[in-house]
Amino acid sequence: MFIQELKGETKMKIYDKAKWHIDGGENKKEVIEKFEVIFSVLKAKDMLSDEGKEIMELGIDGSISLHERLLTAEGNLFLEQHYDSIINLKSNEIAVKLLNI
Amino acid sequence: MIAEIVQVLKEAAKVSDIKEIKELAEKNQTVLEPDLEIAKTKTLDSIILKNLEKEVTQIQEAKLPIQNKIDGLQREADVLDELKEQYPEDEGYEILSEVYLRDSEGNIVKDPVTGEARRIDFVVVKDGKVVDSIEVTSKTADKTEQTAKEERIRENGGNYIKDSDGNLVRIPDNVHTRIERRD
Repeated sequence: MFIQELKGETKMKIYDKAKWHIDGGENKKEVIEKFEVIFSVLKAKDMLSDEGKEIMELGIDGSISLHERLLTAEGNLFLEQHYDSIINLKSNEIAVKLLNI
Repeated sequence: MIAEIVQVLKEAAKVSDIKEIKELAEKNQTVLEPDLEIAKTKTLDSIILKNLEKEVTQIQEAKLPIQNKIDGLQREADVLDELKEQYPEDEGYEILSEVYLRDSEGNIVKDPVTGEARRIDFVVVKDGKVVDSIEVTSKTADKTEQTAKEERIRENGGNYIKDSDGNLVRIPDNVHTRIERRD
């Protein structure tokens, strides 16, 4: 589910943002941990673009946003297919699931 | 489910003190925060029931991550629609999203206090200058820290963003990120 799906536009795909969850009352540490796991999996699968690598090297914090510019074409396809199915899982479960796809 | 939690807590109470009840509750992902003043005057059963009521209320209030994502996407889609009306592309405006504050060399600048960077939801550019900067959030989220962080980053040289072509665009001193709140 992306912005353009909500509005029928062709704008940048945003898969998730830490602040959506932190502002929504989820535990900040756990939220950041999840993004760290997801970025680590994407890096291991060589699915991060140069911008994605830059952001990961900078460090994952509460300002992180996971969007299409950070990913390779393969990475975008991967998250389009699988992201919403792992979003409610805990970080260790996310790692296991994504690494086994 | 609640009966199981009560049973677990009662079992714990037989062999331990209130501190251990709290630890066990945390292990079971429940919320138990015993008030010592209450503990002095009330029975264990009443404390357990009171905490269970609190726990149920908090569980009801908590949203699943997927719902927080849907809400966040919707808020930003609504604001983007408004920005497009306010800043038409045919008048030379460009709306950029997910941009980081950078220095004049193009490096992302970190806040010296928190060590975090600052990502902005939407930035509007016209004639090579930033004319508006917008963060979208919920009606209730406290953004005081974010605003302070941005100011510190700006003071430390984070006065540029990259446009869609990778060019650095300066943010004038009089442009500061405004907070747009939506349900």
